[in-house]
This record gives sequence, structure tokens and C-alpha cells, in this order.
Amino acid sequence: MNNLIISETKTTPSIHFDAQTGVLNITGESYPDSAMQFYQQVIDWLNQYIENSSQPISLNLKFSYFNTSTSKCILDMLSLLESAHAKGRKVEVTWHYRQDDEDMQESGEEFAQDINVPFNLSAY
Amino acid sequence: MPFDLLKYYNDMNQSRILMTFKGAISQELLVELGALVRNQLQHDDKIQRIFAVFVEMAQNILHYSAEKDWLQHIGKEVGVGIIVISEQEEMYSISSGNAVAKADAERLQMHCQQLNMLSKEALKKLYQERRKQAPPEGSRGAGLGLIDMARKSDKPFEFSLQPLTNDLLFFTLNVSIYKTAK
Repeated sequence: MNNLIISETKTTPSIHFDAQTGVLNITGESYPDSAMQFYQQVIDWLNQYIENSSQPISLNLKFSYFNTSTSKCILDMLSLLESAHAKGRKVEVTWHYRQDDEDMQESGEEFAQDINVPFNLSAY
Repeated sequence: MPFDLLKYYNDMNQSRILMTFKGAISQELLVELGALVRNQLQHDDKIQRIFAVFVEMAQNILHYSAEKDWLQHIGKEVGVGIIVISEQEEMYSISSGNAVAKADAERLQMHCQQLNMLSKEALKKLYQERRKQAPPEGSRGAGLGLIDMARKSDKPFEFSLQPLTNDLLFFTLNVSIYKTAK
């Protein structure tokens, strides 16, 4: 399966999904005009990857800012990982937040509450 | 009567307006205004919160204002409204105003009233519950914007609905964010 590589823009994060290693990185800011539209391609890739491989998945989320409609899309991605994890796939999520950004830390904690997968919070 | 620019200048000074825009808000413009907001407030560590409220307000106007404008250069219809960020002694105010259809006003008013009665803990719970559900009908986002702004506001947010035309009301929303205690 091909990697999914999307460059960062002012309002969308960089997407770097490596099919070989199972390391999936999302980094940057996210407040596009339509988050649903932007994240559809990411969710489609993730769905296929879960179906077509058995590689452990390590998702790194490193947002400096995201809007509320992105928040919904993040939960949709995490839900996919949750159901894969429930079927025995090895899955790990790491939420990276800037040390002094309490709101971003809290956002990570809330996703961790909502989703039943191994979830790390990591300050930088 | 010509526009009184001096009065406008003095009013803006007195009200300590940091940023204001009235007109059609496209995504492209929102990005530029957002950069301006960040630039104006880079010294304050509440900047992330203020920016977040600004984006939710601007995207609400862009998607939901009942007053629309067709922008030829991007080939898109976008919402029209006003956003003002002002500074007081102890806090920042982020305010937005836009037209809403009379038919939608009652639902919006109820929603705002309900949110304003909830504690921060209850708002957090509501946000998490709503996020798990499918977006509300007619929503282009996730229906989470107002809840998020209520969570970020340091006081209950203020809102009003006033007559604008026969068919439209003017919806205003004001979110207050305290400056960091030095």
C-alpha cells in the first residue's frame, strides 16, 4: 500500500502515514473551510490500511491548534483505531502538546477518555 | 452627511479595539485576519484561546450568516458579519454579529440560554457527548462551536437577537477572556 503524504498548509496539518512502519504522523494546525472534506482522504487511507495490513499502528497527533469541526474528525479517526484494536490489532496513540498549552493537554485527556486504545500524553 | 472618520477613530481608541472587520468572511480572509489577531496579541499567553474563539466565530459567520455575498474571485458564496476584538483593563472581549433567519432564531436563543446555565464540567460533558454523535442537520461543522466558546469564556457569554429587517434578526455573541494575572 502507498504511503499517504500531504504537505502542511496554513489551515491543514502535514499528514505523513508510512505504510511500511505503521507510523502515522499528523502535525500542525487544523482549521480548514471543511474539516470533513479534508479528513475524508485520511480516514479512507486509514480504513484501507486497517483492512489490508496487520502492521502495528502508532498514531502521533501533534496539533498546535485545531477547530471544533476538526475535533470531530480526530474522534472519527480514533474510533477507527479503537475498533481495530478491539479486533486484536496492535494500536498506540500519542498526543503531543506544548508544555504550557493547558487547553491542548486537556483536549488530549478528553480524547483519551472517549477512546479505548493505549493513549499516551507527551509534553514537548 | 459624510462619514465622520475622526469620531470613528476616537470611538475605536476609547473602546480599545484591537481588530475589527465587517463584511464578507471567506476562509482566505479568515486566515489573514487570524494572522493579524495573533500578531496583535503575541505578548499575551491567552492568545491560543482568543484565536480559537475568533476562528469559531469567523467560521460561524462564513457558514451560517443569513446574509450572503457572492465572491467573484473565489467563485464562492460566503456569509457576511462583523467581528470585533477589544481590550479592557482585565479582559479581552471577542464579539461577533451576523444575520439569522427568523425561523432559526428561537432555536438559537434556546441553545445559547441552555449553554449559559451549564457549569464548566457540564459543558465538557456535553461537548464530549455531542462530538460522538452525527452532526446536527444543516450543520457544516460538528455543532460544537458554541459549546466550545462557552467553555473558553471566563464569564457566561453574552448574546442578543435584535430586529434587523422584516425577515432577519441580528445575532450578537460576546466571549470574555481574562488576561493572565501578572
